[in-house]
Amino acid sequence: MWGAAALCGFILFWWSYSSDPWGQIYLGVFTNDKGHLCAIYVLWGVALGGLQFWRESRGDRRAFLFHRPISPARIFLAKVLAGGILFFGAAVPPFLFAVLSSVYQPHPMKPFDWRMSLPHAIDICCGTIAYLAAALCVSRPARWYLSRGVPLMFALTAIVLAVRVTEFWQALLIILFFDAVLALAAFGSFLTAGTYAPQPRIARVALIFVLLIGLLSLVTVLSLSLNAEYGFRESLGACREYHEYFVQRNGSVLLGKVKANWYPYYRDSYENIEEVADLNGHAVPVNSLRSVSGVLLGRARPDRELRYAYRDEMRYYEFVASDDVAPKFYRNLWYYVRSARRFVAFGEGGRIGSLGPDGFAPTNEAGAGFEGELKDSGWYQRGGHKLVWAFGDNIYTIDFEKRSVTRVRDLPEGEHIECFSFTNLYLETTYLLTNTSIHVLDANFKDLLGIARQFDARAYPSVIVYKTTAGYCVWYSANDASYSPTPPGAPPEQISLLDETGTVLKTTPLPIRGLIIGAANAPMTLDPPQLPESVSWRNLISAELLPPAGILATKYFDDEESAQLSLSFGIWSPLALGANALAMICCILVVLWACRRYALSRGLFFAWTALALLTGLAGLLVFLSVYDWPARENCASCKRKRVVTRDACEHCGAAFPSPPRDGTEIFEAVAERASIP
Amino acid sequence: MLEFRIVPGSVTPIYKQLVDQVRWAVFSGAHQPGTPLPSVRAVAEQLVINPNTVAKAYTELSRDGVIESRAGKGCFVAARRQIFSNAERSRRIQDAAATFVNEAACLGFSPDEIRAALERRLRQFSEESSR
Amino acid sequence: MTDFAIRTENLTRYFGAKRAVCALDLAVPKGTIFGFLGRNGSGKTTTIRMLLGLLEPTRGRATVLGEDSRRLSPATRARIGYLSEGHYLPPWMRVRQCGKFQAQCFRTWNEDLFQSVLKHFRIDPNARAKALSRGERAGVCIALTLAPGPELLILDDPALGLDPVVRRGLLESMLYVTRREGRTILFSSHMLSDVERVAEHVAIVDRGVLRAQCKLDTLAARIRRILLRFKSEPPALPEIPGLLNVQRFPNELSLSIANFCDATQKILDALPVESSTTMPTTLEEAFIDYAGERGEKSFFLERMGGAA
Repeated sequence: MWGAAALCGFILFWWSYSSDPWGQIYLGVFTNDKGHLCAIYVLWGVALGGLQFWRESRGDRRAFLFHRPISPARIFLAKVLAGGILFFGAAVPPFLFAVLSSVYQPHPMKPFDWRMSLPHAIDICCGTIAYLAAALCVSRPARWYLSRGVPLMFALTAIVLAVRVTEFWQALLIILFFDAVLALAAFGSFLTAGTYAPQPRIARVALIFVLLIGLLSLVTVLSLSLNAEYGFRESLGACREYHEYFVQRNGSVLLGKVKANWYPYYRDSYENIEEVADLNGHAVPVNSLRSVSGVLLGRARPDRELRYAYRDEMRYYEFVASDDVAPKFYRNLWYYVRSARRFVAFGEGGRIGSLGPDGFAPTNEAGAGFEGELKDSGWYQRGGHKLVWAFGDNIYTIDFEKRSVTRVRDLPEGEHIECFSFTNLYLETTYLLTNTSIHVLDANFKDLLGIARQFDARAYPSVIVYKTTAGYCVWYSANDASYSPTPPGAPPEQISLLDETGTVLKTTPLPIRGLIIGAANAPMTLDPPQLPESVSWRNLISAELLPPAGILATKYFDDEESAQLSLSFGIWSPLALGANALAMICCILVVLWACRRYALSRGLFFAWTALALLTGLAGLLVFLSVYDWPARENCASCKRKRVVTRDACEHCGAAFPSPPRDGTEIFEAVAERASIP
Repeated sequence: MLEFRIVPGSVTPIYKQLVDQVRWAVFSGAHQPGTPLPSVRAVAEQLVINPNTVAKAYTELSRDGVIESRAGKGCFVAARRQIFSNAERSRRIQDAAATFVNEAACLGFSPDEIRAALERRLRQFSEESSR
Repeated sequence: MTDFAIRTENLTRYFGAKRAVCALDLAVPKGTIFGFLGRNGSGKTTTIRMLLGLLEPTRGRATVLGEDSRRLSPATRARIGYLSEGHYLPPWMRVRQCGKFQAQCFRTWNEDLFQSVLKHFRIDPNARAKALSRGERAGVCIALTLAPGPELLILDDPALGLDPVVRRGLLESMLYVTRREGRTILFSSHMLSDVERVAEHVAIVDRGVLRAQCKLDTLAARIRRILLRFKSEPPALPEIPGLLNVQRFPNELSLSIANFCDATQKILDALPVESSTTMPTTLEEAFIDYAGERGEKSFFLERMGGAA
């Protein structure tokens, strides 16, 4: 039977691997970066875990399994080991086959790095989380409110987390951690056939953790989806008002107030410059604005390689060009392969060769790679087919058709390129930002402007260069080149006016102006924003679902914009806060009631109350679902209800009465036996 | 060797049936004093009953002097000895008679029929003992 | 404590609000065969599951071979054999595979014994478990339970659904176990003839409550049936301690009394009886009287259409 199941799994994976759009097994697998194949492994894990543990979870079968001179821990480990072998036995061979066939592919069409198989290894490992979650589900007692299925929600959360992190080792650690927690919880429930009290302490803690995270994610999703539409709609209708500095063509700087109504779902979103003033505060007519756009040279971005997660194929290579010349299109495809640091071409016959700083090397010959990281590139398309690439501390032009590499510029010792940019496709002017200098380059990559950075690169990572009528204008910003507004506490922007030769004429600091968000149609002021007029029922429910800690957390967001956005969620309205407080009081009351009714100790009461306050409704639900609530009977002496699990009544201390005797009992003390002759 | 048979589920306890069978065998003269009795284990396994039941029967028999146990060799039919006083003997026969008569009365036999049955049995007994 | 194989103290188990076992104080001496009797649904299987640590008691504790039943160590489990009424075997396993599987777990496995029990029940070692009849499965389970030579054997209604031949084989196996000194058997059964054969001590459980725990002979001795004949219609009975049930006939009363003593005799003497006879009863009848319906039963002969 197990053999048949494994075979099914095998066939399933084979089919899934081969159903890729390119019609080639190996490629289909490794161009996936979303983890959708994960679902297959998860289903396999769930089926395996459920079936394996369900059959022997009760009755005579359980007795057959348990009553033997092997500790339950070993029995559990043996089952998990068997399950693991089946799971990986069905999942790993097709995977290995795909990897090996990709590695030894005689006519590859794309570059392949063995690390591209890592995401799929993680997908397979995610199946183990599903396996253990299913084992736990099946060992838990069935209740009418479906608390049995919560571990699956936990597994879902864990898998989503594992799939979303950027590094392989992070995903592996996450999987190992969640596997350990689930294994402990599953073992505890396996040991006691689902009852809670006799489980070892660490298993109980693990079970509470599993249920808590599962319910928390459920509750959070519910809360957000209830609220999101409302909040989103609110921010849809939000007006943003912000101040922006505009560099004029003549080099002067003006401050404008911009109002943006932003309705992504509706057609009339617009941005409007409402008022303009010069730096001294004198108003300037709006229509006299003649701003010039600059080239943003941001701070040293992290390595292009590291910008992508291990799941993203862009981390390993990126498509750069096809040397197609009419009428032949897509004859050869060129990729920049990061591990080799060369440009590699793939054509009909497979890999054609690679281009490096030392020129073209055919087929599989190795060559030197480009020194330094690939920074940026530009197109250059005039009478030919050239591209410009910046690496480390050199700039190259590369003709993929002619397969030539020419170094056009290299930097002095100690300098390296931070950013290389361009304004138009014809590469008449390119811009270069190094760690110490700023250059504007002509078509031959010689300096039109070459100055040192006035401000330290760490304090002012971003540089924007404007070409003005009088020369240049360089704007230094503490922002890291993202387009969100600079937070208020940052150092002021600095603008330097330069002449044609690069001499600094004037440097002006510009104070930061923040971003204001308000409700639609509200009067725009710089005062703190008004809270929404009415709070919908959705706000109330979602506020009740979230724990107080969660609501407090929304206050301390990183940037002001998100903090201001959360106001539109209505969470901080008195009504919503009141609803939350009421919900929390109800939680505490429920816990109190249950503890008193079922005679739980005071320490437990405090512990569960703390958990409920910390985690909101989720904590309360965990409390209700984790205990096996005992029956209650009337006490014979004090006539109040008492739990049946304790020997002494919790109110009067009396023991349970012995069963009544009616004179027909026949009891005899055990006497010595005669020995058999 | 003595052959035993028991009827489980009867009104007589099993050990009593064994005791009665040994008694009958001995007093009918079918087995002479000195005849070995099967071991407790053998009887228990043959009849599929608890050895303690057999042990209990043997204990009662040896207490009554019907059998004797010799160390290391097992149990044997004992030579007939008077071990009871006359009073004790008469009490015992009264008990036996009471049991017999009660049973017969329950079955609905008249005193004449009871007497007739008793006569038949005594005749049988004396025939066997004379052999 | 050391000369009891099983000892329970106030053992109680609730299923929801229903009390299945109530304040059981069982004491099974070592080296005896102990019959655990009771009607269906009186809590025998629940008690046995609690003794084996498969079910958690709501209150009270049980000590098996000196260890708490909730925490039986693997070493102790090796000394306990368990046979359940379902005679469960993994259906896909062959008989000899079952044997090998058990043998791996138990260090004291006796292969000869296993094979001889199988031969006694005439079971083919190559047969798959799902192809075996009920009796054959029982035979395999008996073999699997006996082969490790357990000190304590717990059998939960082992004869259920078995034919007389297999039942006899079961009894023989039980007696075989007690060949060695100190071996204890606790078994529950409805076949009182079997119980009478092999049990020394018995306990009777009624609706979860222990009503009797004594030697088998004591039980038989202490339950008496008395037939009272009257000249006319029998009078209403006074309160008689230990009265189990009464059957009323036109001129007779048949009383079933437990713990008959002199005081009871005095009360009976006070009635205007014509004659009073003690009826000999079998164990089965005694049990039916004891565990059956209490109180007065009337048997209207007119409905039967004839005289008694």
